[in-house]
Amino acid sequence: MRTIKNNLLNRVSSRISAQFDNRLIGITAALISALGYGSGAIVSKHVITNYTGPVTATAFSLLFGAILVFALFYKDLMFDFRSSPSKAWIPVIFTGISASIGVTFWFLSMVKLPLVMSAPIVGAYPLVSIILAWVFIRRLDRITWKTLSGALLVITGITLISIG
Amino acid sequence: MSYLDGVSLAIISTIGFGATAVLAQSGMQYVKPTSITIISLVVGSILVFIVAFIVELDQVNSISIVALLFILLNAVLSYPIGRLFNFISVKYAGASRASSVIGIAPLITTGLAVWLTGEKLTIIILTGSLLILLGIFLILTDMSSVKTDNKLDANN
Repeated sequence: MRTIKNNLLNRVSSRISAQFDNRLIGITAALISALGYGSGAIVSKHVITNYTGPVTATAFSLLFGAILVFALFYKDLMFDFRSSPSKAWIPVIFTGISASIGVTFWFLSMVKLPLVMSAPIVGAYPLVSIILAWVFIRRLDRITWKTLSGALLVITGITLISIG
Repeated sequence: MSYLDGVSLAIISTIGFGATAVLAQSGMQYVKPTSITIISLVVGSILVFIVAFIVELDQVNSISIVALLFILLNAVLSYPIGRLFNFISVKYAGASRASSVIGIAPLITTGLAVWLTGEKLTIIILTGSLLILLGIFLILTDMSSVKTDNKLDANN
């Protein structure tokens, strides 16, 4: 009886630890990503202010990015092509389409709106992610009030920074 | 009319960015984050080049070497770092949490602008920064689970 109890406790604690590790890896990766995007935006602003148009800069940037990431990780892609069912690639292709819609329409909106207007609207995209995740992938991503409150605080903060 | 057009364009952009993380998480049931990054960049560059040829043909044709070098630096920061880690974070933290944390990128841009160009901090920017940190703290301490036990985990 005692062994069963110990096993159960071990299993529960290792599962909690794994969940916490996953979340920590995820949040750390998100912070590194934000650092990449945030510093990239400084270079991007310099380019579109001094050298070329925003859509041209984005197109070349995506092309260079594709070449770089392909050179680094083409083996993963080959493995996935061999092992994944064809239906798995549908959301992957749509990921590229939606990301490029995001970037292109953001730049186009900046032509018609001041940055203080467009940045808070576009900065609200985590809310769209939360709503879409809740509607379509509830099975994969559980959404809580804490996440929602955190997202609202982040969006309010971004809005203030855009105004300030 | 132009103002409303601008708002509509910004809303479409918001939906595009918002859907990206959810689609990526859906794709990651079978495909690695690195492969999703490659495909999303290839698809994205084709689409954005089409738009660039339509709206900025002159600029595409006359781009300088210096501009290309700066764009290369931007690409290194935004894609092998920004987008790849974005998708890794979606895999481990879930689309909703990852998007919320990555949403702080403008804070980093502002911080770097203050540090590198000597721009002044205002009370509003400081308040915004504190709210962002509080938001991240809430997301980080959220104990709910994300399902990552998919085909990839079984393979690795």
